[in-house]
Amino acid sequence: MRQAHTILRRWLAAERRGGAAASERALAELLAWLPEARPRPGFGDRVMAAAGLPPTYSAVAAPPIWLGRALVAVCLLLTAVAVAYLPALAMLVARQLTLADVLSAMAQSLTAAIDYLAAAMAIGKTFAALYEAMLRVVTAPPLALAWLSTLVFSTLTLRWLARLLSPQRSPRYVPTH
Amino acid sequence: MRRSATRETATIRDAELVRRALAGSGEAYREIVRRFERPVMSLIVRMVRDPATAEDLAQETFVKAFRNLRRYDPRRKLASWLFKIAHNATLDHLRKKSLDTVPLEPADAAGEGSWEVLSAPAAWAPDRRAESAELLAGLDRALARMRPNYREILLLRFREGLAYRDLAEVMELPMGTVKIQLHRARKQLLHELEKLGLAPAGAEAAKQEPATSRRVATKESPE
Repeated sequence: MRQAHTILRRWLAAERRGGAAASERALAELLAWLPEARPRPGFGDRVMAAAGLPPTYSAVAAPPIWLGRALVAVCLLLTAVAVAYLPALAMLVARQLTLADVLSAMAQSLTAAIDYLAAAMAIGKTFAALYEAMLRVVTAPPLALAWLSTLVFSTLTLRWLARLLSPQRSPRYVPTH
Repeated sequence: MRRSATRETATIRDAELVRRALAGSGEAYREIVRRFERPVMSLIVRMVRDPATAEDLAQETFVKAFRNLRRYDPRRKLASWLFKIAHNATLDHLRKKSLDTVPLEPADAAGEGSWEVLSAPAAWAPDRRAESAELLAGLDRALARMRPNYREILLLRFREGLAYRDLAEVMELPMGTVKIQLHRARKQLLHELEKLGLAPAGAEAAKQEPATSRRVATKESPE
C-alpha cells in the first residue's frame, strides 16, 4: 500500500482543478505523514530548570507514604521480638560448645588465613615480575618517545573536543536573550 | 498517588492546566511541556533546519511562556499562544542570521540535515517506515526550499490544524493576507515538488488526469 503517494496524487489533482476545499483536505492529510520532531530526552527538565521552576519527577516507582511507614513498623516489631529471644539463644549455643571446640576452630581459622595470605603473595610476585618486564620495555627510548607523543596528541585532541562541546548544551543552559 | 495525578493532568483542558500552573502546580507545567513539545519542536525545526538550534528555540519558547503565563487569555487556544511565541523566537533567530527573506539553504542541500533527524525510522509506525520514505524526504525538501513565511503558514494551517483566525493572530497578519499567503504557499509547494520531479508539470499532469476526476471537479461547489 502506497498511501502517501495516493494522497499526493489526490492533492495534485485537486490543486490543478482549483478545488480549494478538496486541496486543503488532501494537503493536510499529506503533511500529517511528515515525521514529528521530538526534543532530546530530558527536555522537560531543562525547561523547568531554565524557567526557575522546581523539578518534578515521574513517580513510576514511588510507593505511597503509608506503605513505607507500615513496612518500617513491621521491621521494628520483628527486631524487638528477635532481641527478646537473643539471650536464650546465646545460652543454648553456649551449652552446646566446649572450650576445646572453640580453641580448635580458632586454630583452623588461623591456618586457613595463613594459607590465603601465602597464595596472595605468590600472585603479587607474578604481577611484580610482569610489571618489571613491562617497565623495561616501556622505558626503552624509542618506545618512550612514541608513548609520550601519543599522550600529548590525545591530550590536545581531548582539549579540542571539549571546546567543541558548547556550554549551551548543558542541562542548566538558560537563554539570556 | 502521583502517577494518578499525572494521568489526571493528561486529560484536563488547556485553560484548566494553565490555571493549575499559575496556582503553583509543577505537574501542570510539566504537562504543558509534554503536550506541546512535539508540535512546537516540529514547527521550529522545519523553520531553522537545525535540530540543536530548534531545541534551544523550543526551550526559549516554553520559558517565555511560563514567565508570561499570567498574560495568557484562556479564551484562546494554548497551542496558538505557544505557536505565536515560537514564531517570534524563530523570526528573531532568522533575522539575526539574516536569512528571513532568502531561501535558507542552497537548493541542492536544502533540508538534508534536519531530514535525517526528523526521519529517525525507529520513531515511525511500521507502515510509514515501509512506505514512502523517499516521497516524504522529497516533500520535506520541497518545504525547505520554500520561503520561510510560506512554509510556516502551510505547516501551521495544514499540519497543526490552526484556524484562519488563529493563523492571523500567530503571524500578526490580517485575515485577507493570511488567505492570500496560504494560496501562494500551496502554489509554491506544488512548484517545488514539480522541480524535484515529485509532481508532473502542468501540461503533462493534465494529460495524466483521468476524465472522472475532471467530472468530479465540475460538481464541486465554488470556493
